Amino acid sequence: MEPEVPDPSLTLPTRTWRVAPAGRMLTTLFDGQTVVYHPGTGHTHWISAVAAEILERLGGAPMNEAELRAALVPMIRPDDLHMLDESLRESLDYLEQLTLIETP
Amino acid sequence: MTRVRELSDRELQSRLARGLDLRTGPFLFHIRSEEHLVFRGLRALYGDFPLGDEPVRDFHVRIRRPATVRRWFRPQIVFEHDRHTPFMPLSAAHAFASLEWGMNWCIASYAHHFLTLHAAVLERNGRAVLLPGEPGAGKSTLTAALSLSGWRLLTDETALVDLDSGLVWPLARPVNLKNDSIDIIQAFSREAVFGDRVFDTHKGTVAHLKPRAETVARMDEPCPVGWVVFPRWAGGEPARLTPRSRADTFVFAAENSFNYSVLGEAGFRALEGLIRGADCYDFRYGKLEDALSTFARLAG
Amino acid sequence: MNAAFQRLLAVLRQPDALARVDAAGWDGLLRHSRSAGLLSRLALDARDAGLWEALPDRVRRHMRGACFVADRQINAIRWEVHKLHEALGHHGMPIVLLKGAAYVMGDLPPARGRLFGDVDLLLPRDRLDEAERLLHLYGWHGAGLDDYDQRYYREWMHEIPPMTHFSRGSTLDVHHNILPRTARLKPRAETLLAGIEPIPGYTNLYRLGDADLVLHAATHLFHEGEWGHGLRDLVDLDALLRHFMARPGFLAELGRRAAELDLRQPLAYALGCVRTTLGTPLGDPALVAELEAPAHALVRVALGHGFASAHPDMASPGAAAALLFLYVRSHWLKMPPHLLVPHLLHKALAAGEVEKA
Repeated sequence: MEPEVPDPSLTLPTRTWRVAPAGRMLTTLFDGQTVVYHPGTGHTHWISAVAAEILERLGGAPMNEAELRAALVPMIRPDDLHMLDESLRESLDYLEQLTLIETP
Repeated sequence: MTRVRELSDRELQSRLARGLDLRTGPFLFHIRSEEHLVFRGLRALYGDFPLGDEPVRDFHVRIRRPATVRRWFRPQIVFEHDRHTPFMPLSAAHAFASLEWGMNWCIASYAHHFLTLHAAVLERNGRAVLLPGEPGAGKSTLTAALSLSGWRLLTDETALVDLDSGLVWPLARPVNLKNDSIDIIQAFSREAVFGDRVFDTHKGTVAHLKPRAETVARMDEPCPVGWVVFPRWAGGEPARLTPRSRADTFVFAAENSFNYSVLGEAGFRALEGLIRGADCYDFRYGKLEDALSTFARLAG
Repeated sequence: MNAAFQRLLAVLRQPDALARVDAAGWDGLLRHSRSAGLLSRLALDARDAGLWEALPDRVRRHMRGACFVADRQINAIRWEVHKLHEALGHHGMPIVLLKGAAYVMGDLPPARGRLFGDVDLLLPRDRLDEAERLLHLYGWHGAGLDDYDQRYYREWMHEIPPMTHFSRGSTLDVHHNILPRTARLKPRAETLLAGIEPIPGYTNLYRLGDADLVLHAATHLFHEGEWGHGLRDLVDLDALLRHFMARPGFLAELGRRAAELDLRQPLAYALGCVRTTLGTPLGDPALVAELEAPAHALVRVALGHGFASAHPDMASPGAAAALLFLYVRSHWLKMPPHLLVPHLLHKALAAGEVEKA
């Protein structure tokens, strides 16, 4: 049997993310739910708690996905830890789609 | 302060021909028209409104005949704002309705010192309920019925949110009702006074409900929003009020605002303050009477 | 000159004059300045002059609203440029911002309180195909033009047909020169590109050089056919000139550059118009007279009507004829007669069809 060729998309180095340089991003919290205003597009979005945490962390400085994951671990209940990777992936995709974050 | 009803028919007509300064809430409109239907509409619905006596007006509007051959054959009218005509001419039978729509358009297009939301607002016991407009949800009927049942009408479709205080300012203008709603409200209350019915508009048959005298007398009193309620008429169902997420309400209100997108940070802050101070609900109802008792309980 | 127009010019020339506008005057000034797209600019002038609190309440409220709109538009332009840079600049394509976007990204005075329309870019002509391909990849698409308009753009114009972004709805005008290929004046794009200035903080993002910015604004004004924004464009020119004139020798540089770019005539009109209309201080009278020499007095009168056309209240007798003259002239300047007559006929017939429908 030939050795398995790894899927190239899985071997990409972990991406670095930053908050889009659009001006002052505004967020507000209602009953644990976050609403964010994108000063570039002028649109307002309701984002998940994980997405809000990512946005907050990236607000300090750009981070790669491994660093983000490590930062998020303490806020997740140990029973839910298995869902972290999927949640992180989904949140990053969503934030990127809204152009709230981007890779520098 | 002179009110429209103090003018004789002849005075009102001649003022309209030169330009009548009419105040509705925070706005002063300079209205010019020689159309008889415009005169009739103002006579029937705006009697309690004060005339303006300030040199600076917010909006200069006019309903006039377009300069075409159709002047005499199937006559048309056109709405003019500050000498621009933003819309196509309409049948002259729609002259007064065009004025109402045109006035709404002015506010939505230029009143950027307010956050303007597409919603009806009514007040009771010092707190207002904001009813966002999902088309076809029966908002106008409910608004008209509430305004005839002890609630003070602030506005039927354009909510003016103060950018500093977050309070909502009244417009106190007539409620625009369509098709079946007109008969429902006529049957609902003997106090309901309507202007002329207009047929075959792009909205079907339209009539305007005269605001009550108290509504107009208190049009300089803004009010904090206590509740945001999304009404939905659902035939045969019992009245049911269910809590709705504030975050979701925020996003909906932003998307259904006339000018949130042009206000930037100021709009976000004003809406944030409004939503934070309000309880948000979805509301389904089958009978108008049930809806009114639910709202009465809400107001305490 | 019409009194309403004169009042607007007076406050644009000298913000202190805002204190002398009475309430009745404000009723007109509010509308006329809004119609000209200058209400937010007057608002900032009133604030800077310490006159904000003295304004009539209704005027102050509308001005406040206009400032929100202007601030929001500046954010939107910055974001649009950021996304354009992602699409083009990241791929090694040099982008030269023109007009409004250049003023915003270059932190230049005309950006102050200005309202914006589309974003305009200048790109090297031989890289247009590549740029169009990249813009398609990043979500811009061409407007649905008919075959005639497509051919008109591709064969005769200095830009490709306008593009719109699928999600943001913003419009983009991509130019390869500042005048059509058919125009009587022949500025060379290579000369413009040789003088560009980088936008700080970005790679591959530029604006025109200082003198070229003025010359482009002048050219735009001089070739204008529709005059809704004429006065605002003149106000841009005034702000640019006041800013750059602080540098000794700027006027002479402007003259040299105008000669190099075949733009002496637009410069002549621009200087004459800002000086007489907005009182822009231009320095050395002998040099000013020399630079203004190529201007025709009659055309200057017509241009005056053009600036007043932002609102019908500001029109003087003869305005309609002057505007028609400017319209025909703008096409005359952009096209030789054997192209112009068929073009205007096509436009007139197409407009007739719309009216009938």
